[in-house]
Amino acid sequence: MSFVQIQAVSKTFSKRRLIGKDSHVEALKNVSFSIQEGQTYALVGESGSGKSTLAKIVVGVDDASAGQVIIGNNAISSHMPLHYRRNIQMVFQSPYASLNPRWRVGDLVAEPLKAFRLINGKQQRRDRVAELLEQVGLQADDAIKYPHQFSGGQRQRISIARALSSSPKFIVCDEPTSALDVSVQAQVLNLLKQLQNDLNLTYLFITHDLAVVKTMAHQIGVLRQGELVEEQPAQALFANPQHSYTQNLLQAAPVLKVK
Amino acid sequence: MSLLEVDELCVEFSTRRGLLKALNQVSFELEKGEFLGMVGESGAGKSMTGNAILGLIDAPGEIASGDIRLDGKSIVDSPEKIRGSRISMIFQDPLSSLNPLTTIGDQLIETIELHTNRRGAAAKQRAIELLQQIDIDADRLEAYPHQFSGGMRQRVVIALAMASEPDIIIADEPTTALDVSVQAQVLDLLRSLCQAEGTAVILITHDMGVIGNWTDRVGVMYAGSLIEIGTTEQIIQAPRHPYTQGLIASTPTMAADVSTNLYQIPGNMPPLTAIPEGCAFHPRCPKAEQQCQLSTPPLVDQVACHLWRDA
Repeated sequence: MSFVQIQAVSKTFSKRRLIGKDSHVEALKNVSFSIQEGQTYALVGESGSGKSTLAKIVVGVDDASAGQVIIGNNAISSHMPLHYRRNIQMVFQSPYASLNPRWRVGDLVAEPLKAFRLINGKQQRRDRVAELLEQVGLQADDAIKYPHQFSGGQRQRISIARALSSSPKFIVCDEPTSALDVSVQAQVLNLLKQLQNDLNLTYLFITHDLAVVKTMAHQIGVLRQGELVEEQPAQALFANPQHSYTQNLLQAAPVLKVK
Repeated sequence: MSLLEVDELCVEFSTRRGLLKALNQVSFELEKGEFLGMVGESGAGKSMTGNAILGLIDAPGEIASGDIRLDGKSIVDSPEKIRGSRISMIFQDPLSSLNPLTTIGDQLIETIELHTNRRGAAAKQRAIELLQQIDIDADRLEAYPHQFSGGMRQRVVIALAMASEPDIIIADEPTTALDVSVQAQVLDLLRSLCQAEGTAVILITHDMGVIGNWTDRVGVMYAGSLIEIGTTEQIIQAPRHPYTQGLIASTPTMAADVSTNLYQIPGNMPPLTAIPEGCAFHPRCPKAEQQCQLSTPPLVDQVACHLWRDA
């Protein structure tokens, strides 16, 4: 059975008006897919397609209007028990906005450890933080520094270390490299792949960049205006896109053609 | 003589930590009607080059040496005479480059009246023509920027840049804020308009895919220097500088899949406060020799690399 199951998820945002009819926006319409353990599912779509709304529902920050998300054997919701959450982590788009500038790197990385009560004592905390930093290619003594002392790529490594600290099985990566330069993007993508191999992680990878998807994904879903219009294994989708929207997207993507 | 000649341009910032060389001996030419890409990572000096051409470098920065010539005449001392009229600019975020409080018609007419000798009805007529060129109905002249989508706004910004009938448009990351399908429309439009009018474009971007699909020629910048320049075909299919080679190898392409890793250039680009002696790229260069640590290679024969000197 699949590790992550998204079953007929819909999300409607309603706005109540004093005068006239209430307005409703259907952000997600009956979206279903599943992700195998240890694999990457890429969700592709343009702004406003519902990618980030789905991410929020999958990590249990927001609730679906209908349908359900099951990760492992646990049903995900915004009021699920705390120990469900430690298996699910998120890496955000901007490493400039997602790291508190007034916290030291060690505190940032250790926050999930504290939140889930996974450590006892300072020494154990220090050791675990050092181990995590080294795992993402930073140094143990970077723990005492502040985020501004790092470049964008290094900051994204810090975010990844934080996401890994509660030993999750599933990580949602929401445009993790779109704020980074290409050579740095390559480093971060390679790191994510290596961690997947080492730790058997399952990723939901959200992006608009098809070339990045090609290097990362096993399975791809294309989201348009809240509907999953196409879903295929990565190779098949690029070789033989079925839906006209996917075909347009592939055509418009400025992909470098090196002979 | 080329339309624009940038000649050994150096831009320096004096800071408390000493002199920062934001641009170091940058030289290139731009021909009439040409689409030149400028590519590099954040802080490499792409935008600084564009700003220097427009005379938009604020204190404590200054053009320390070198020259910028338009039609053979230096524009370094009085950039305000050409800025907006002969050379115009398109910025990344269309929402912040349009005035939210006036209609786009008024903004177009204001620009036309400021930079051309059309007035009143003639200026309005020209504004309507410009809107038609960017595929927007003439009756949208009365619309405000917030009533347009992101792609439409950036098309309006293109119309504003074309309004003064410039020789050169400098477009600094014009599509970074847009979706891919909209990006393709905007760049196609910019390209066809400029071809029709004979306007040259300097397209500043960090996206190799954009470079590969929309430019004629490309300059590659690293740590304040122009390290390689050539036709887009040459740069992408047969890059010579090891940094350009690394940049292209690390860009995801359709040839890759999950089982392969992307090429990684070791290390990071140095900050301008700590540019190494010799070739700025040598600490990260897989092919560096002793000479590379000692002297900075000049841009000769379109590449700034010692490895191409001896051959």
